[in-house]
This record gives sequence, C-alpha cells and structure tokens, in this order.
Amino acid sequence: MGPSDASTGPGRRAGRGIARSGARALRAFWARAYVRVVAANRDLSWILFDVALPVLGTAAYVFVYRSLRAPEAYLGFVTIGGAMTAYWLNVLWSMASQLFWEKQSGNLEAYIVAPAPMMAILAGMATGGLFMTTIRAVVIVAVAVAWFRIPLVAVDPAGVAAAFVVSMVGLYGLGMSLSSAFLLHGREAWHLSNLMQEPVYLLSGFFFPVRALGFWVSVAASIVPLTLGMDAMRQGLYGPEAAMALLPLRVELAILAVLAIVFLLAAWWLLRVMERLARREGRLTLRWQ
Amino acid sequence: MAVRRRSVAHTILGGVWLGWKVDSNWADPWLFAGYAILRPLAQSLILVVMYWVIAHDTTTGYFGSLMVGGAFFTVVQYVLAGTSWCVIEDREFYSTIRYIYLASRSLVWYLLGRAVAKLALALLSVGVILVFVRVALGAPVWVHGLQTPAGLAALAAGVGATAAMGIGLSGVLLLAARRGEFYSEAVAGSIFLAAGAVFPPDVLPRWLQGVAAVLPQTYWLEATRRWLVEGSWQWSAWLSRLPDGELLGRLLASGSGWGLAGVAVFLAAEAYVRRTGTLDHHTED
Repeated sequence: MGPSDASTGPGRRAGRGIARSGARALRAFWARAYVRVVAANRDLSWILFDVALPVLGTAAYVFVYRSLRAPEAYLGFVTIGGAMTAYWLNVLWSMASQLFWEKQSGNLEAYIVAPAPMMAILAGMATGGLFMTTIRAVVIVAVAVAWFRIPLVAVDPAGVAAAFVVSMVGLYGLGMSLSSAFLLHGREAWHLSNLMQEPVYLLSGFFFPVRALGFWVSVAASIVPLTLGMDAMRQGLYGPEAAMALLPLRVELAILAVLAIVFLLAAWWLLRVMERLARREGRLTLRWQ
Repeated sequence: MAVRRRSVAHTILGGVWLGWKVDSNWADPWLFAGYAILRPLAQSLILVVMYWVIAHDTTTGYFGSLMVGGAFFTVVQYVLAGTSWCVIEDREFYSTIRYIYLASRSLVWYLLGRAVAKLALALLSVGVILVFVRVALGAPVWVHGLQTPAGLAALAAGVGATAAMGIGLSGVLLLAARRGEFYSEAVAGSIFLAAGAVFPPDVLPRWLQGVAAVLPQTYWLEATRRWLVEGSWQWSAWLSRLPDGELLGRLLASGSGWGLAGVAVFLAAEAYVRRTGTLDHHTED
C-alpha cells in the first residue's frame, strides 16, 4: 500500500468523517451553551429576578421553621432546598419545555435540519443551564446564609460535592428526556411544567427531610434525582442522623449514578422517536399544535 | 344609563368567560379540576409535613391557623398574580390585547372579569384544602369565633383589595418589557412573606413587621383565622391583641388605600400606553 493509499484508505476516510462529525457536534454544543453561559449573563437584571424569587420563598420557609422553634439544621435544609428549586425550575422551564418554546419561536426547524446531532444541542442546552443556574444558586445560598446566619459546615465535603455532581447529571439527563416528551405533548407542555412544580417540591423533600413522607413514598419519589441528591447533600452537611437520612450516602450515590445513565440513554432514545415522528408526520414543527 | 350598565356587565362576563376558556379549554373538566387543585394542595402539604416533622400535633389552633393562611393565600396567588399575568398573556402570547381593548367597556372591567374566573378556581382549591385538613388531619377548622357575616365581609374586603392590587400590578405590566411573570410572582411572593401567610408576623424583623402592618392581607388572613379556626389566638400575639372591630377597620382602611392606589396606577398606565401607542408592543422573544 503506497502513501496515497494510506491517506485515502477507507479507515482514514472513516476517521476523518468521525472527526468532522465530532467537531460539528462540539460546535453545536457550544453554540447552544453559549446563549446561557455568556449571553444570559449580559443582562444583569437576572440578579433581581432569578435570585429574589427563590430567596423570598426560602425566607418564608425559614420563618416557618423559626416560628416552630425547629433545630438549626432545618434552616440549612430549607436553604439547600431553596437553592435546588432554581435547578428544578431551570430543568422544567428551560429544559423540559425548551423544545416546545423553540418550536413556537421557529428555531426547532433549524435544530432539526442542522448538520449536527440533536443530542449535542440538548447537551449544550443542559450544560449552559447548569452553569447559569449554579451562579444563581450560589447567590441564593449566600444571601440566605448571610441574612439568617445559617450554619453550613459540611461534615463530609467530598460527599456533598459527589452528591451534587451526580445528581445534576441525572437531573439534566431527566430534563433532556422530558424536552422530547413535552414536545410530543404539544401545548400541554406549559401545563405539564406547571403541574410538576409544587408536587415535586413536596415529594422530593425540598423543604424537609424526605424520609418524613415514609420510606416507600420516598423511594418512589427518588425517580427525580434531586430527591436522593438533596438527601445525600444534607447527610454530607449535617451527618446522617441530623439529616434524617433515607439511605446510606454511598448507596444514594450509586443509585444516582444509575439514574444518570438511564436518563441520558432515555434522552437519546426519545430524541430518535421525536425525529422519526418529525420526518414521518411532518407536523412536529407546526406552531400551536 | 341602562346601556352603560349592561355594557360594563357584558365586559365583566366576557372576561369571566374568556378567562375560563383560556385557563381550561386545553383539558376535559375532570383533568382540569385535578390540575387546578393539585398544585395548591401540594403547597399546603409541604406546610403539613414541615409542621409535622417538628410539632406532630395537627389538632392545635396553631396548625389550623397555618393551614387556613396557606389555603387562602391561594386566592392572592390566583387573583393578584393571575390577573396581572393576563396582560402578558393577551399582549405577548396571543396578541389579542388590541382587540380586547377595542371591544371592552374598559380594561379594568375586563380584568375584573378575569379575576372572577381566577377567584372561582382559587376558592375551589381552598375548599378542598380545608376539607382535607379537617377530615384527614383533624385540624380545628370550622366556622368559629368571628360571626359568619363578619367573616364573609372580611373575605369580600380581602378579595376586593387583592383584586384591586392585581389591577394596579396589571398597570405596571402594561409598561413593563419582558419578564412579566417575575413581576407577578415577585409581588405575590413578597406579600406571602410580609403578610405572614404561613407563619406569625411576630417572627419577622421589625422593618418587615412595618410592611405587614400596612398590608390588607395581614388583617384579612387574621380575620379568616378567627372565623374558621378554633384556638386561632395561638397564632400571633400581636394580631390576637386586636379587637375584632379594630381588625376589620384596619382591613377596610388598608384595603381601600391599596385598592384606590391600584386602580389609579392602572388608569395612569393605560393613559400612558394609549398616548405612546405601546399598548400592544411585543417585548418577549
């Protein structure tokens, strides 16, 4: 085999094809993430709007516990829960409902015909959303801790960090799955997001230890990664007894890792279903459906 | 004069009818009822569990007061935040505000109609929550203390003041560009916090107690607790010191003040958008 054969052989051509596809996917990923990493932070009005609302809700629940003379750890539970509401709202309104909004604004067609995998676009959307929301969550926690002088000293910092990372991968994987599912539900997406807001705050134990709901209800609620994620973070912060832990921290981390893989695979599969429907029925991008 | 009265009534009824259609026509009535009830019920159950993990006893006047405050705050969310959101919905999403403006006697009457539709949904939720906490949790929630006519008068005054504040917020939203939902939610959230809907205002910092003292919702929710909760005096030392007459007087005074201010803000905003031709300007993406 001569040099010219080596440079144009089927293996090399396939390699170049993969490299080009990868580069396109990366460009699509960054293009979608850019909007949330850079552009969304140019307008600093988010500091007022995206922080004030969760702080108001968190403050109200802190006062509920203060009026009940609850142990100080409960104020920390509420603070963590308040910060996590930002992630849940982001997943509901900026992930799950996002493809529906994109359809309404006419961007969905561009996504579908773009020469890049939709999964890269969704991953960019998730990564950008995670970055954007983390900035907001940090500010929410800082404001709440400063206002109410809440003790947040971790007994297991590595456990807190691991719980946060693995639950976020699972949560945004869930958001990526829901984005296709909500798109298929058409204009009911808005109502589905509304419907999933407070019930998940309740079932996932955003403002109290989830074990208070009973073991089996808590296990069923663990389908949302934030349920075990918050329980694990509270354990890492205050210890398993004070946090009324549902399961041992390591077990929760293992389950969260499995959930993350399952939701990412589900997102990939649902995207294929959606794209197949888009081609077959030709009406997926029609507005007001 | 007869024509004018009928025209106002038609505008209000049109608002009610349109509100019902917009809010509910995406689902069959049973599914919609579940949807309308589930969200506020979940909010109340969060409070139930928060209370239960600390205090356990759900038969106290304190718990009943907590649940009544949380349940009736649904009215504030629906009527104040929901009504003002209609401006964004009609202007940004459906692009119908110009036609509504031309067809209505006045946007104030139309928005009042929308508020009535929201109120009906909110009261449905309130009923479900109160029956649940009474039957399932044994909370001492029933007609009690403050006489029913006075309780109903307080309800009317509280709802009226809240609706007028919603009209005022609608005026602000006529002028606002983008992020309309945050204005509505932020105002409702601020009242939730300052009025002590789910905790006694006594635990608020002094400056927030000052805000609580001028909000009609503080007095309305307290009057409702006296009407419906046995042992409501356990809730707030500050509010329980007020005699019934003074409580209702404060509700009427603060409600009238905020109500008049709300309508004045709306009329000023409406005049401004008419003058500048920005009534139907799209500002959302």
